[in-house]
Amino acid sequence: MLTKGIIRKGEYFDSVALMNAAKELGSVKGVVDSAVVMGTKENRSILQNSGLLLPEFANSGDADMLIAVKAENEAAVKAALEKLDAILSKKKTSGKTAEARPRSLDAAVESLAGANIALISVAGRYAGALAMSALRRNLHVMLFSDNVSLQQEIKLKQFGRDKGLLVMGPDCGTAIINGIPLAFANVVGRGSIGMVAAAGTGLQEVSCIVSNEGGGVSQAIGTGGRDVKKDVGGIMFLEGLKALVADKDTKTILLVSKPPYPAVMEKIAAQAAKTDKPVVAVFLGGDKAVGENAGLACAGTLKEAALLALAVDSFGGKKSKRTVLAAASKDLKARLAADDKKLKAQAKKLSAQVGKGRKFVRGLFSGGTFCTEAQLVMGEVLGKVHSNVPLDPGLKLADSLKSVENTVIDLGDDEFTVGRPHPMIDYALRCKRIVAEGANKDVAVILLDVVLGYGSHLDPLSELLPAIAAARKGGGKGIVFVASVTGTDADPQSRAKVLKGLQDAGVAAYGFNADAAAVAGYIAGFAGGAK
Amino acid sequence: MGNSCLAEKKSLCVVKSVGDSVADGRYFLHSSFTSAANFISEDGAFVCLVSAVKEGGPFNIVLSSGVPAMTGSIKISLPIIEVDGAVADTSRAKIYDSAVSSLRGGFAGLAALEKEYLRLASPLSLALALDKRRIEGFRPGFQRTLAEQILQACALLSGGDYAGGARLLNGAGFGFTPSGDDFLAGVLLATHFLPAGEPARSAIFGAAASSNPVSLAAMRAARDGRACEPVKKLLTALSLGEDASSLLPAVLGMGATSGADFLAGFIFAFKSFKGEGRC
Repeated sequence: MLTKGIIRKGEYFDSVALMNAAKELGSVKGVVDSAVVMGTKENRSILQNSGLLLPEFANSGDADMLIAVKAENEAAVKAALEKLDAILSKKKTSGKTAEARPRSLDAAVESLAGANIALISVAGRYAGALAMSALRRNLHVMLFSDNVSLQQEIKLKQFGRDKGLLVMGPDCGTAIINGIPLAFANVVGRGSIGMVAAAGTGLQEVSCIVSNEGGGVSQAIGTGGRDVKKDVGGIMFLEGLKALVADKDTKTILLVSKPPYPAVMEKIAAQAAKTDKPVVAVFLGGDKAVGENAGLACAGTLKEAALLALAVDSFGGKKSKRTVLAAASKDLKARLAADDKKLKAQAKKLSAQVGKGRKFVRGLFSGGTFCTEAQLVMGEVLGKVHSNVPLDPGLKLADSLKSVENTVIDLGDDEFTVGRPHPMIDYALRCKRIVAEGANKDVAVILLDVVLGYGSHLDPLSELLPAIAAARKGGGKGIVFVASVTGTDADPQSRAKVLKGLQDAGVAAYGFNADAAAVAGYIAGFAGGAK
Repeated sequence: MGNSCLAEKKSLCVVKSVGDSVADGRYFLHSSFTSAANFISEDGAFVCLVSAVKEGGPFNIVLSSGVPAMTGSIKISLPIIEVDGAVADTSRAKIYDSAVSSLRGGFAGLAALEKEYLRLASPLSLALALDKRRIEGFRPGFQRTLAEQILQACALLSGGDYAGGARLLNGAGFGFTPSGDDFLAGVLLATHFLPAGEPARSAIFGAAASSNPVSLAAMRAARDGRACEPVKKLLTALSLGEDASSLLPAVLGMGATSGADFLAGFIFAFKSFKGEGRC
């Protein structure tokens, strides 16, 4: 038996990294005992009592890290120390927490006792079974994977509901639970606005707006877009709403979705009506009347919904729900009207840059919810807006690769993501399309969304700006580029930096998707593109 | 540059809240992690700059963004906070009131909370102090020796040898802030709710002479009846007779086992120090 160790003077790592490193050491073949601890007097005493104290540890202090390995032979000691060195060096370089990577659900559960949520991102055909295993272990589930069958989704959600567990997804891109962002999520402040959404980028947009405008998010629960459709019946949307009603940190509730199936919508409205907490909702393109009749404050856009939730939340429960909702709606109307006036004026100015004969908008979106919102906003100005995911089935593009008049494309739709990463990560397809649209002589505006945060492309400007330059060079002179940026300054990419980078490149960049869509619509309208 | 608000002096750090124990002075970086950076002053005072994902604490300065990647210093002359020479925006900052000693004790729901706690706490946490059978989860060798020492310390504390127990726990165990220190902080906070907790508090704090400023600050805050926001929320719910189990994960989520070790100390003291004549 052999005992060896090293002392790393003045090095420190967070507790999670230290424990994971110790666990990794213990898993090396031939290692009998090991310790990775700070060199306090008491830890040295325990090392001595367990036969792991080495002479070189004698002069260590509280700020030094001690690593000791007892193994069957020299090779095992060497392998263990090398492994540890690699883990800690990697962590030191990246500045982030080194984590053990379990290779199965069992191993993951074992390595993190007390965990109560499983984030599943594996190929769709395996995801359903894995989610069911997690539910059986009393874990809430966030199912990032798509291509899980509808039947399986229903089964998972019924099972989860019966056990009092959330099943977020399948195809759930975003959630923030107890301040922890999961998957595609942003670094937002904590606060008292709780959200349930069946619209991933919609949830990102409203959570970022809330944070950027000085508010905070208590919880953001995603359900996956199919949840509010007829077959699933809103099982998890309703469970999410129930969870927010019970959540002590949530004072105001914000619901976000594309239009739910009518019967589902009624169930949601009925449940929301029961709580004393004020509920703001945006069902993009849906019938506001159902929600409003149930006492909800219904917004038409994500921007309006987030600002309304903030206004409502600022009352801090001091007045009745009805009074608060009415007062907040009234206050917000004035701001939205002023904003619209300003946007129209900016669009008028920008329209002077539009080349002769150019009159249509081409929206190229990575966020499906943004694509829907743009259809609604621009539809009011331009009339018909074609899409691969149209609100009106009659406006569906025959070929998603060929735009018609005013067109918006959801590049995150399944037809574009088979065998390639999501467009929030991989900009290649969108950049190619920007250049292609730039060559069309009838295009006046190219409208883009840029989604920041964890999981998204870390340097979107490095992809978009060359594509925009190429489009301008290749016949796109006279096209106005308009973009929205969804994110916060605390995101890894920094919203302020991206906005500035776009503006410096001559792109009209906005902090709200609805504003960008409005400007794009107005420009095309001024250019004669309304249909 | 990234999200560092220090890299560009024009962009300010926006402060959301300042802990009520944050003292004026000049502080220098001690250690930094993804969402927290620890600073100490020349006279040993402590402050922690934390990102928006964290909550308030007695020594926390909570930013509305991420923690800047910094190597510098903080100068505090409240309400002015300068981060590497750039004045932070504190106009909307709230003072986080960390005092918990005014809460009504009793904590009738503590037994139910303990049950849930034992279900959730990490196997290598000091939940061992509440359930000795958990020693089986500690591997023979270093881990088992540590576990035995913890149990020995608990026996001393239960027997009224507070200084002896504290000395065995101080600096012992896993983590950047060793488990034993976190446990002691929990014990110290609990003494505020016990009939005769003062002697135990004085003896324990007197014996715990950590040179880790982060551990020391946590113990000092606990001695003074102060707690971070997740703990305060949990204790407030308990004091109101509410079900606090939903607030447990936030406390357990502090560090790898720091939150769990802290709670173990708190519950342990409640169960062990309540006996007549012990404290």
